[in-house]
Amino acid sequence: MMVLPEFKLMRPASLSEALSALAQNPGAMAVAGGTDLLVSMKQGLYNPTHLVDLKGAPELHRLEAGEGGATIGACVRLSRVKNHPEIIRRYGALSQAADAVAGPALQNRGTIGGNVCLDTRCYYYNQSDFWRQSLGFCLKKDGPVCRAAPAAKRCFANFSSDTVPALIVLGARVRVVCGCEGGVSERVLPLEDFFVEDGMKRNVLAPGELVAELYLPATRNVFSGYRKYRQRGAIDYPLVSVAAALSIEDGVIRGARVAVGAMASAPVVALETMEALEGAAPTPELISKAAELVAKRTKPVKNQAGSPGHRRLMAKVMCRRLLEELLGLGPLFGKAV
Amino acid sequence: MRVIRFTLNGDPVETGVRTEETLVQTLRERFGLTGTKQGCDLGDCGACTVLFDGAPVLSCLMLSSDAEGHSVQTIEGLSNGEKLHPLQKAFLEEGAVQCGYCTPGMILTAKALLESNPDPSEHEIRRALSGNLCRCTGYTKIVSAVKKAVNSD
Repeated sequence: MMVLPEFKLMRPASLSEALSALAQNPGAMAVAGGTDLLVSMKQGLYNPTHLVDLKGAPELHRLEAGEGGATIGACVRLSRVKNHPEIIRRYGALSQAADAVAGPALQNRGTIGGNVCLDTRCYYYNQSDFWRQSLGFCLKKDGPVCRAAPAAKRCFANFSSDTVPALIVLGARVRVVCGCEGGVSERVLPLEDFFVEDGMKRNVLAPGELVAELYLPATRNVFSGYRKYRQRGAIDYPLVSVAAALSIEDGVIRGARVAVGAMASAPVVALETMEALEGAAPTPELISKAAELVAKRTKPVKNQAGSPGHRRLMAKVMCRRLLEELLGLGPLFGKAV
Repeated sequence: MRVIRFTLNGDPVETGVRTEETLVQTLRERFGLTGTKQGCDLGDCGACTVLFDGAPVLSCLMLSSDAEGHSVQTIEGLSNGEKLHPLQKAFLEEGAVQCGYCTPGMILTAKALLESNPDPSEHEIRRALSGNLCRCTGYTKIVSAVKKAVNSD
């Protein structure tokens, strides 16, 4: 049995109350679904003095999607995202990605905000206190050195969110809020700028800041999808994931966006693949060429199952299959698994 | 300690819980409902699945305080006295139980599936059960038991 450490639970009834609770208690952490944080707390990775439960803030539960775009509150559950008819119709990659998170029971509690803020993961980090102590603690938690790459001066823990690559290719922006004198201050930034390539810091959130909402732009004739490679068909975090969105105008590809997850400490936008696709006529040769470029900006280390070489190879395979599916070329594959 | 009130297997209940207590602990230790199994306790295995407002959730990753005002169903609430639920009956008849540790979670997940989709395909059954691990690997019979329960309704 894994026991949670003691903490005080705060249940604010609005976003501003939640922000002041976070501001007044420097040792506090925000929690929504708890499906990531509670596991880490059981393993002794986090020991917050207070948990600020965001679920009571009605502002964070908004889910609107339609012709003009979509707004998704941080506390919207993954199962609600996955099953929303307008998300399925207009933002297919996001629905598929939400469906690929862990298993169905977890999707009924886990939230989109939690998945965006998901902690980075590593063999040497996501272990019980006993396990980590036996080996010697790692850089990300209590230790002097990265166990995955001891010669390096940084943490390589893996970016593991499923929904983020999908949100990035769909052009998502994120609203980050913070309590301040006389109310709430906010900033809105493109989701790809929210993350930092550092397994420890992982995103730009400052203490006291929260992700409040995600915005998706209107889509017109955009095909999008998400592919995930993992050990089992469910439950596991990705070893590699690829999301893509594109449209076809006058027989050529326009607005191609491709992002790769789980290959670095942040999501990676596959600029070379996007460049190869942009303005080109969709052919099997083009897809092969574009997919070959997808892992160009990634340099995974051995910190989860599968060798780095295998994961880079599978990134190309996943990208090729996804593009074939989106462009209606090649053999038909099943739904993203 | 805080006092929470919720509906457990159809009955209103009230209990004191520690802040850091998870729902699986409350169900097993305060209510003696040990049908809900504590497996990995880390959200991987699905053994602790219960129905929360009718939807399957992992009770090891839920604070008990979150149950306040909601409805929780465990495997103990499924049969009608001595009369087994069609899914329980089908699991028995198909021999879909080996060590039995995953069975409560499997049955409750299948119940939620059949309520939202009364005639699922085999693919849909497998997808719905994908978060519930059977370490005896008896999946074939579990899937046929769910199919049998569909046909018996």
